[in-house]
Amino acid sequence: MNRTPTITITQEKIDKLDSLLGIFCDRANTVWSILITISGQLLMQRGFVYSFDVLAISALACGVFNSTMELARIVGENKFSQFLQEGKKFSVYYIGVNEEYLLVSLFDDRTLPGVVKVASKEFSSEAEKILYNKS
Amino acid sequence: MANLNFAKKELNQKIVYYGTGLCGKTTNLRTIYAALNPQRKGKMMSLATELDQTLFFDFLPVDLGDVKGWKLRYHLYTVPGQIYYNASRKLVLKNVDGLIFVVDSQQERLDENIESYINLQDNLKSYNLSLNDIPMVIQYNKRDLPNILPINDLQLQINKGGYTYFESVAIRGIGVFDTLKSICQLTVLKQMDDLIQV
Repeated sequence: MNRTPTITITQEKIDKLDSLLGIFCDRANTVWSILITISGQLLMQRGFVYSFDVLAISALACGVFNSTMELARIVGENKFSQFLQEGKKFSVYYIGVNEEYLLVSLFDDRTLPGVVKVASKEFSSEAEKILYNKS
Repeated sequence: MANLNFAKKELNQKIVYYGTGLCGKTTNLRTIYAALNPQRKGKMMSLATELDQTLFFDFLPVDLGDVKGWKLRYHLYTVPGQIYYNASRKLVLKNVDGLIFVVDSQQERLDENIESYINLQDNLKSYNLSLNDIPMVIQYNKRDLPNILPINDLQLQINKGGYTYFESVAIRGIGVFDTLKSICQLTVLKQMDDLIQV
């Protein structure tokens, strides 16, 4: 059998990412944010939403993201690396971190989609450096 | 794709139940969900049609104990079996760590089982994978029905790769945990082999 790829997360990386996620949540003023793998496994979360099933949301979010990637491929785009689901009370913003991770943020009218978008892009770029040891 | 979390000492793996429509994939998950202690399972989620057929996937996170201080957490998924949901099926297969191919043992479903097996190979191929790359076990389900094929016939027609197999009656819980235990062992062994190679 060939070796299948594995994501390995060390304590050091977790600490750095957790701090980065905290900065992101403050800056973007999101209600709740999660960093998950592209196969739907939760790495970390920030914020507090008491009635949500985090594991279920992670699995659904990765399904949504992967479906969107496939849709991109079908219409001839390389990828749709970020997108927004807009609701009346809450909206959800998705952004990929490289090909293997996904940041999902729930936010309400205390912030603006544009702010979340800009902060998400910054997070994605910084998180990529941490996860892939890039300087 | 397995996720080794050194901070939490957790190994997370993704297991996918694959097979033709109405072969019993969701029933496997429901049986597991019903049998496990609440501490060992998360919420089961089903994205199904009005006819209770899986539309995108079913999902059940389970915690199956510790090995040398490492928590083993499995994310169990099923694929939609109906032919026209192939795009969804392919997506669920992404980053899979272990496969359970569920076979409907009834005579009249043989062709559909074979078609599903070929479809699995094709979908893996789209991720540059083959059945040689992913641990797999086969589950011959619905063994309580009167019109089933003998195991030897099913083995000849479907299990050409010589995979470990189990007979089951998923609706009554027979063979469900044997199948799950087997794939979990295989995926952990594969993970250990992969780590040794690094």
